[in-house]
Amino acid sequence: MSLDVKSMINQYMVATDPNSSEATSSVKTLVHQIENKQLSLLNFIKLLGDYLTDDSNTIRPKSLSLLSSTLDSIEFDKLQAKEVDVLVSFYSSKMEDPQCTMETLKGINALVSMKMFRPSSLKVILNDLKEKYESRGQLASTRYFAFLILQSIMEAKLEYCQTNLNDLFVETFLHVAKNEKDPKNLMISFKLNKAISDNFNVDKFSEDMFDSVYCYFPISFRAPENDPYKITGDQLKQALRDCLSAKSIYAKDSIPNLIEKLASTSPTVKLDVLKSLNQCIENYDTKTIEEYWISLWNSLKFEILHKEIASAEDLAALIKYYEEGDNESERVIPITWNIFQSMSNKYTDPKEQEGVRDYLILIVDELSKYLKDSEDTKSRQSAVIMASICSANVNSFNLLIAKVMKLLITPINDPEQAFTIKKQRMLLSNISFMLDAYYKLFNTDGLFVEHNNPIFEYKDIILTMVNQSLLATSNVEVTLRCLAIKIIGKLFTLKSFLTAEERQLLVQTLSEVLLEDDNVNTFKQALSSLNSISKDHPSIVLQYTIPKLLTLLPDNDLNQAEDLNKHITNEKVFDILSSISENILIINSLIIRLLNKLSTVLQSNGSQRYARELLLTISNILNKLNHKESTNDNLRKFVPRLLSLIFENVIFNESSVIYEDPIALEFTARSLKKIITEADLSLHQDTLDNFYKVLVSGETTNVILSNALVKPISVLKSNFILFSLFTAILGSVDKFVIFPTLSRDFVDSLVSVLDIETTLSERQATIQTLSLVVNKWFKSDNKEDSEYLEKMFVSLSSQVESKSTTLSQKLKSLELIAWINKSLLLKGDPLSDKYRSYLVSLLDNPDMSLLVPKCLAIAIADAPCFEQFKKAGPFGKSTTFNINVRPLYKQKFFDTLLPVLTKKFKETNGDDKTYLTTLSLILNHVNKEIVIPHLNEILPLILSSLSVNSNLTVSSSLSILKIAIIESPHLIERQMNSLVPKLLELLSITNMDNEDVKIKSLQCLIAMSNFQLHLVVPFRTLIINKLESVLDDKSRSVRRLACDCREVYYELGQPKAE
Amino acid sequence: MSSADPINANPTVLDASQLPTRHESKSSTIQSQGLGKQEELNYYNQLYEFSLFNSELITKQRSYDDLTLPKIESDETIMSISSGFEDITLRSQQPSQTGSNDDSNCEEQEPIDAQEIYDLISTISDPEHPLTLGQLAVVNLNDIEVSNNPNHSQLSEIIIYITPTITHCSLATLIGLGIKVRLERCLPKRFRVTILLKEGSHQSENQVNKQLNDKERVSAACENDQLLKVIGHMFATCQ
Repeated sequence: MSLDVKSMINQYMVATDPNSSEATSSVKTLVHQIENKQLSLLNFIKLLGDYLTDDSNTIRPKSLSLLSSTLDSIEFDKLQAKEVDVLVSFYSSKMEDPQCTMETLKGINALVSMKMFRPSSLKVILNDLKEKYESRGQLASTRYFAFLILQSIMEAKLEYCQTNLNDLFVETFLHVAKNEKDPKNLMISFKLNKAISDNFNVDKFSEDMFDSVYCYFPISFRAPENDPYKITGDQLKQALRDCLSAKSIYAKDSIPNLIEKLASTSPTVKLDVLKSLNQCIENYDTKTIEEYWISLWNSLKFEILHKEIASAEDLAALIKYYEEGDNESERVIPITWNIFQSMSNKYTDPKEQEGVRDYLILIVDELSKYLKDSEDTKSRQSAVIMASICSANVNSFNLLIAKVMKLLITPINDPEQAFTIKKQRMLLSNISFMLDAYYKLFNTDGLFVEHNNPIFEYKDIILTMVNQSLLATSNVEVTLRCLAIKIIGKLFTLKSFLTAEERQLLVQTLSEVLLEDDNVNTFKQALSSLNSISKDHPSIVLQYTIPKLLTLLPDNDLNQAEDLNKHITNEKVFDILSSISENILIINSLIIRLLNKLSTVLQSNGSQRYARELLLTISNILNKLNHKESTNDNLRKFVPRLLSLIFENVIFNESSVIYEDPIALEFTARSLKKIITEADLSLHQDTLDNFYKVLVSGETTNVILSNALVKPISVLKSNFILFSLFTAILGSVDKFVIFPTLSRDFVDSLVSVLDIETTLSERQATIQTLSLVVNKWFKSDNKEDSEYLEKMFVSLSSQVESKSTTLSQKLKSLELIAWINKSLLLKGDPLSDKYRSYLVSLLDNPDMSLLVPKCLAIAIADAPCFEQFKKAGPFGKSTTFNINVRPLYKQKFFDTLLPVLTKKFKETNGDDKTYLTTLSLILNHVNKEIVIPHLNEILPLILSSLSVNSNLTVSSSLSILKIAIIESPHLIERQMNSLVPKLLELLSITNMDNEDVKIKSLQCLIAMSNFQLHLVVPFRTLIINKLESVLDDKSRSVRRLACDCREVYYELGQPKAE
Repeated sequence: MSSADPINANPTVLDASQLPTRHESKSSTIQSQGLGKQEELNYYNQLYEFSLFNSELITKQRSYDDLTLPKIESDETIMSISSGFEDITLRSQQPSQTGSNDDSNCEEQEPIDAQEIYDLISTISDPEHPLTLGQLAVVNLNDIEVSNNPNHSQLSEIIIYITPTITHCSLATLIGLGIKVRLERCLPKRFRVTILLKEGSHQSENQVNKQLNDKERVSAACENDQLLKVIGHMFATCQ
């Protein structure tokens, strides 16, 4: 056995690196044997014996290292007390051996953590460290162990040290920490320092403790690249701050010293000082801060008073602005506010802390001369300071807010000086900051608002001022008015601030501004404020604003054109209505009122445009419903009224302005779609059945109609125009709903409708209905369905190819193929391959090649009838409920089609443009992400398609080109020689209406300027010169972009300004 | 701090949102036309996008009042329809059949006007302040005169009056030069640009005017790389 041990020892001794696998494995084995009592520690040391006392300066440390490593790895409870004692005295004797310091310290550290370690030995160890250990001349890694010992002692024997070795421990630490420079060691040193301040009595050593960390201040450490310890400068700074702020007794040193450092010109240092000060103030006790209050205030106030404060009306926005500022000197500002807040936070007990109270009042007194005069250059700064102090805690708020408000409003009653608009504006913006303080305390922090909150005394004045600014000043004072509106918005957000009457008053004022003020900015601001108010207080808006707006809508708009006095158009009213519809109460009430209006307008023969716009507004307002709201009620109550009105006017009343109007129906369909998709899925079956009964089966009375129809309707026989409604309904009901009749029969009827001559919108709606039925109610696994589609395919394709069919018949069949293909592709039906390949094969058919590209594009174009609506499905995942759709169908389609297209394009040597056209049409409908992986294959096609004489193709190619330039420049860089002249040529074509192409070409050129300089410089002059003619383009946006492009190339290679 | 202060430390600054822009007038025209119009347009565009019949792309000028499908009776109409499809791609410049296209042509020609010049130069930064010339009211929309000669082969003229922030502004020439270079880069050659200081706005008005409009001296200045760099910096805010 001892032979084994011997060989293990030797293995370690010969290893050059103590971290090598041989060395660690021998340590492992030894540890294992000792822990299992197979080897006694005594024996082990005996075996090591000679090495430990060897004269050689390499062998001795090495053997000691083996011992220390072994001790380090042994379970902490495996050694006996006696063994530990012996080892302690052994290591203690080794302390005098300078060659072995590292191993000795390591060993001691291992021992200190042992379970059987006797606290009485601590004195020896600490004394050894203090007396015999000298950090100078030791490696950083050695010094690290000295810190580690102290840390281990604190972890294991803290209580013993506190009672018995307080002074010795602190002194030892001070000794060990002296002259440390290594960042990793400093980190642990700072941590120890803080822990000592927290746990030991350091009154005697306060100065030494302070000096031992403050000598590093300010830290300018920046971690080197591939930094092994992963310590950042900020971590060190924070650790140092933790030490400084650990105990109030450091204040006498820290605060004066930090204040002195505040004079530093470096913003980084300043920032560090301020952060440290803030932390000290937060952590020191109130008495201490009181002592230094005056000197703190006097040295900090100028950090704010002497700065320009950015123009924001909101304290939070202001802080955000400064904290995100790139400029370090700007970040000084918010941290100074933080300090004031921390100071104010010390005022926790109004009864006891009279000192703090007096000091807080002193600040107000000092700032009073600025607060009093809102035009003073320091007024804004002072208000912000007061707002931060008040926002810190409710005691300060209660103490100061009344005083501050009283000072702020002085100008209103000042008989000597006129209360100018400018004064009014500044005053309002100052008051706005004080409201932020209220918001912070009572909204953010959620404190309870007492009924006698001191700010309430000034509420009337604030309200009067706001009202005055809006009702009594000229519309030209945009800034003032906008500010007043913003304040109204703010007042509404404040908890328990406004009474119901006050809210009504303010909403009335806002409504008035909205209708009277024609300035764009004021209008926008009023609208956005009203918009947010309507979210939380819908009843007030319903009561005051909406009736007022509705009275502006005439019953008959035909005479309105001559009414020049009316500066607010119907469109504007609609606009306002939709943007304040932020609450379901408002929405539900508005759609009914607008429907009534529509009914009146239709009776009194208003214009078609007016009627259409009313319908559009209804659908826009409905679309503002969020997904949590149910539309079940609307389905029951609103839909029947809407439908009866629409059927009456669109189908039966030939003199109605919207008789057979596809647009009116389209807007109606949108409303229906929204209402059905948001209603419970359980209602969908009945909905579809009812619609089917009315539209197809010819029922004249039904729950979806509020009045019986004059005549039955039949969408399959004559009222084709209603297909647009039917499509919307089919597209929005749940896909698991059962179709009221056999779907194949229905498709048959649809196909015969398609043979009848109809208008374009009727035809489109019909074909989309068919496509939807195939997508939702044909089952891929149903044999009859598949056979039906197979048969249909055969008959359609034979019609397309047959020589005897008329061209119009061919076109119809082709269109049908395209739409069936789309519906199959979406749900991933196996038959879709057949349809798709057929369409692709038609690309070679000269008769059809012009039309097929579009058929392929239709397949992946986002048609509104296939819009996807989602509801939460199983596992909380939201799933599409209204149509059958595979998530990646576009990508699949594109990935299969692209190789075919590129191959065919190459076969024809690029002569046949059909493939290019197809590609570019398809590219319009796929996402960037799908295209990027294929850029390499597409690019040759794109480049050659730039020469195609077709705006559509070129324009879509340019879109892809732009993506390529940005996403994979290396592909483009090789083509610069041909590409740049090509783009310039596109730009020089003047006789074509190709604004879009020009804009995209210019964007490509601008994007290319980001390539490496040596690639673009050769083209610089060419581009600048050639673009000159574009500067005279007839389109303004092209000219503008040409200017920008030239500017980019003029400044090529210049460093970019921030 | 005070030593770094520019001489003219506190100029009146206009709020950027209140400068005259074309954008504003454009949005109001859209508003008067109504959002509904746009929605209708989208609807028709979609119809055409998804239909093989009558594939002509819809442009904003088209009128929709008679939107019935062309009668599909004979093969000839179909031929014309499908050849119309070929045409979408090469929409040639022949005036279309509808009368509405005529006024759209007038609309299409957007002449270079004072607002456009203003947009070009008001975004130039002042060399002293981190603000634009528009914000500092150095250039004003009303102080730009454009006489646009409809015949593009003849010269057109632009006169711009600039107002330095203070009467002894030493950088008035630099600002003037910046505007000159900007317009030279951004306007077609047929324009002649004259830049004058607004009367009574500067101590050495005549001297500066002479300097700014002296062709030789301007082109000499443009040879100076250092100067061009400063000017490039001033243009950094123009997007």
